[in-house]
Amino acid sequence: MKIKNLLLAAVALSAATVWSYDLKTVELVPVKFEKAPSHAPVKMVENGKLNFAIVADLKAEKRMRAAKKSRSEESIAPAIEILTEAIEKCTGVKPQVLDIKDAAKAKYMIVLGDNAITRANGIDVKKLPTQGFAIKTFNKGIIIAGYDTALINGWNTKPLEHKGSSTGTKYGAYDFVERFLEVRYFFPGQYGTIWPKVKNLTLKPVYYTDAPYFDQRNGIFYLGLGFAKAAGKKFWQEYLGEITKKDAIFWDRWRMGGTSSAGGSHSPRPEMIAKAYPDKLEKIFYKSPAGNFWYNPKAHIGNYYDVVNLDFADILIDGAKKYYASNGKDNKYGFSGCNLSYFSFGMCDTLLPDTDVINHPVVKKLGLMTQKDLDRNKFYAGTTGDNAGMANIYARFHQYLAKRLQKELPGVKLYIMAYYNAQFAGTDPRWILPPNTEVNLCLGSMPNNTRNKVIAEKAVQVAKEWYESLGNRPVQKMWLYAGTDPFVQAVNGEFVGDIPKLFGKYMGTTSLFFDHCTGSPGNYWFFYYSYYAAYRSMWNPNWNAAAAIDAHWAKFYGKEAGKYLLQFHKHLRYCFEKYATTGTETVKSIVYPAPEIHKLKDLLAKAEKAINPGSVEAKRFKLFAAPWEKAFDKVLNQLSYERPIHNVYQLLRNEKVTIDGKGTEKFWAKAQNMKLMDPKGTTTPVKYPADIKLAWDKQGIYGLFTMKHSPIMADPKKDLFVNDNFEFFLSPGMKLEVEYQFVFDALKQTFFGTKRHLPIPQPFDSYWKVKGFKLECTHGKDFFTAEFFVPYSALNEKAPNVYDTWHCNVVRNKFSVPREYSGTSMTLGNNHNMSMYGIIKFAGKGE
Amino acid sequence: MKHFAMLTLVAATALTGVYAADLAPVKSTVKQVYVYQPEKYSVRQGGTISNQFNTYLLTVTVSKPMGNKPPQLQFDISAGNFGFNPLINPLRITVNDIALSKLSVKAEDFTAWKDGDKAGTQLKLNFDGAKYTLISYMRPDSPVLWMTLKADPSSVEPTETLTIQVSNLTSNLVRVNKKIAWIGAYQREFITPTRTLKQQVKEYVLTPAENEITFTDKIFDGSAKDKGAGPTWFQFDSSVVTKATVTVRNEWVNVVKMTVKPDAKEFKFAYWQQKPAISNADFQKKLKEEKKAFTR
Repeated sequence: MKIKNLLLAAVALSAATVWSYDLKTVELVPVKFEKAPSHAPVKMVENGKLNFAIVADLKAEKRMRAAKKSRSEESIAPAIEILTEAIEKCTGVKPQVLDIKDAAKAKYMIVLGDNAITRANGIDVKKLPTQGFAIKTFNKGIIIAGYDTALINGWNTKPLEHKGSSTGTKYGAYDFVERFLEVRYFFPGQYGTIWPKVKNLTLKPVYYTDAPYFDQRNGIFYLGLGFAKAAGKKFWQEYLGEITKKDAIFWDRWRMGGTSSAGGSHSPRPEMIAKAYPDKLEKIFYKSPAGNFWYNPKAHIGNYYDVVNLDFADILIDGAKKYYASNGKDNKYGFSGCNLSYFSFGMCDTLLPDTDVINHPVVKKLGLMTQKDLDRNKFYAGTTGDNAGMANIYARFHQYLAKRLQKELPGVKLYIMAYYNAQFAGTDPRWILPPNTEVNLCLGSMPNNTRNKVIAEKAVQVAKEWYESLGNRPVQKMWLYAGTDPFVQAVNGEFVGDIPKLFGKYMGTTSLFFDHCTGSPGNYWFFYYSYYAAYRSMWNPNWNAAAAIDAHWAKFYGKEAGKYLLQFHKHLRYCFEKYATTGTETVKSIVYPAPEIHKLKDLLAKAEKAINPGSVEAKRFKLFAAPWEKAFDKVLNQLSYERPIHNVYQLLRNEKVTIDGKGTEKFWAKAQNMKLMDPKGTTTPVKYPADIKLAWDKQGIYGLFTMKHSPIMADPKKDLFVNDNFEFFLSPGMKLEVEYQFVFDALKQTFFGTKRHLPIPQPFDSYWKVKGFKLECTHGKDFFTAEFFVPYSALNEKAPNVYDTWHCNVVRNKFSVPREYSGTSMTLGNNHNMSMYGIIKFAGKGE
Repeated sequence: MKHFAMLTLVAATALTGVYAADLAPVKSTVKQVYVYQPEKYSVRQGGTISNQFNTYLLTVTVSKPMGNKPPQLQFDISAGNFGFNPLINPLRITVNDIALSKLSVKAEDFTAWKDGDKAGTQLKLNFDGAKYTLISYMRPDSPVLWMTLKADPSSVEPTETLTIQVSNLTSNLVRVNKKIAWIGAYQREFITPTRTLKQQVKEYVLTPAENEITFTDKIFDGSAKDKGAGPTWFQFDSSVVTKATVTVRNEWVNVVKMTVKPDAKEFKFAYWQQKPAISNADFQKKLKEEKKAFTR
């Protein structure tokens, strides 16, 4: 009996060691299978012994580079590294690497890239699509060869060519290790890759090819950002383990990148073009008929290019000619995304209110902003931006700029950044864009709303309008936004594949850019599964991303924990579909009902319980679980949020305030302190409290705000929004009709803004003049005190009656390290979210 | 509660013959209490004042701001479903044109109060610097809720005007064809020490001698199960009142308005109602027989 059992165990063990791969697994993007060659199975690995060597023309790429024939990234060399690493990790044996001339020394081989063997086996890499590859077995092993620009004579050799690289062989290598060895690259660091144990590998005849759908699969800026600084690296090491140089380019394993030149970005940089043409500031930056000059020498935000004035286009062309003539060396203009393919023009991060431009004489004379334009705002309101008012102003400017480019710099296309006021295409037939124009369409509603019928239809309409404005050509690039809500981030990567299907002919295949809406260290690795889905979907949008993610849980976390995590993720998807895809407005922040949150919490707890502490699964779980406690906390807090009511101290007849920034008046001690909280809704206590006190009399509101630390970021050269500052928001009464914003830093730099919301919403006025506003600040080693006065007359309000109530929010931005963002209302991170503001009550005397 | 109601009935009828020494002490507590839709209130403190004859529930609520609605303070008195009832906001105090409903009150402003054998609650009020304390209490020998609105010497502003409004939903709220009859279904008749006030549109101006009112309804006289809860009673110190009016209308709620002298140090008033129904006739008898219990 014992012998029989032993025999059975031996058979089972032997079966387990025979590696069987599934080339059509749902876990990977589908590939195109060609007619398989005819040969016997090739035993590449037998009982842990490697019967093969990696074979390539080892010097081909270097020869090209040395001869300056190509300035492409290498493809074959990294492919060798990828294979060597994977094979060694999976089999425990490092494979031998042979140059093509020594290929005969190998019994079997993995042949990489273009060479005689590859060609002899019928693979012509030049016939493959850009970035594409072919994988084909033959009687001596397998060939992995792709379209490699490192081997193309003249690729990217011109100074301003600025193209990316096609690294087909490298992508083929990744595909091989994923498809044949079942390696899975989920996140960087020590724990994020599955390296299966492979004792035997026998290749059956097969031949397939693959290539990406989108030429540029991008978001590299963000994924690289997390490890760029020591603080970011330290942050992620806590979750990812040791981080190597390779991890800094982990995105490469998700096959991110592309060949087309960059374009459609913010360009030029405002501070640089201002410096390049100091005598032309009023032609570069917009000045409204009311005299508002949209020029901010201290920051990117606050600048607005004068697109009403075609002289500005001439200035751009003047700079462009010098830039191109110098092969980009003369770039005092701050051009970005400007190369032999494209000249980028993109506005600054500033939204111009339609009211500031509608009365401009040129706009009026040419009918550039009509009721029809403003009505488009109503049509799109809440769904995908409502900034169509200036569409024809931009169309005229873009048309002029493109035509001038055509004349002065033929071959260089204008790449428009369709963003903010420029998001919408012109509809006036006078301003159809010439063929040397391309569009990068920035859609804040995508990909989060691909499955919301109402919003998706309107987003498609935006793209359709561009298509028509471009003379029936599609937008070539789309800028997607991940947002910052964990409940959205966890699933929205799975929607990226919807984009080309949704937009059809209105969307080209050049580029998708995924904006992760975060700085360093970022939060994307917490949602690796979502972004894995996103970027792989850019490669192949027809991939069943959801099925692939579902399949990974058990493999990555173990059967039992995987079961619960699968349920957890499916429930996230279910909730998103149920609660976040049916509205008529884009989802900014999700508040699922408490029972859904409790269910998620329960599943997460069960998963954790099923994982052995200290195991690799436990390390992975630590990363996965990291954002959820706060996320649950935040939603439950939102559900139970009560707008705080703060009494505003009423000055007695004998009490006076001297605005001196000292707050030495005795009554301040009696004024109620408005408690700070995390505006994003977590219960995380505020580590750097501040005293926030308000008082009132019949003339106005007095404030005494004190930070109990030094505002070490206070820098007169910097915009107040990068200094430690306070933001004070008021909305008189309870109807939320008008919003007033006061921002100030320790240097007494101020910003004032106002917006009427009712009865008819008006644009935000960032040029609001606050007559009678007084501010004095003092700061020292461990404090920053701001004392201010806001007269009611500045708000067009009469003095409130005692016990009247207004909406109010105070935000404290501590930008000195460690940074902290706190406020008196749970605004969910949107300081203008008035419905969540607290209430101030104008207290009676002696209260 | 049922047991207590019986006690009240028995005790009320026998009150004349009870000696003070035999009387149970007045109990009073103040704590957070359950109110309908508690999630809508930031303050919901309840005071219970009881003796062997009666129990009054006083509630101080401050609503949370909801949408456009600001927070609102309400002070409620209840000893039954009708009469002085939370539904109608039975006590409204306005000082210097500032309504009590607008004030900021914290839970700790409403506390238990005791003075000898008298016990009850006190509520601190600040009408923009004109400060008052509203004391509500019972005596061991009386079913009446005695109240005093006391000017607080720590006031920082003088009182220029002070009005008190008392609302009464007498005996019953009628439904006709399943709809509430807000008007037209009543026969109100209010009795003062000097006259019986019949229903009329115009409000009555009370004389200084008319310092107490028994609110009755002739249809809903409390004499049987379908005749409502019966009468309720209100008394006030007319010596500090410059003007007092009462409406006696064929409506669900009627109102007594009193303009109090602004320099009055205190204004005394009193409520009586009970949970078990009592007929108009029985109450008049009770009022007569238990005169001392209904006298401050």
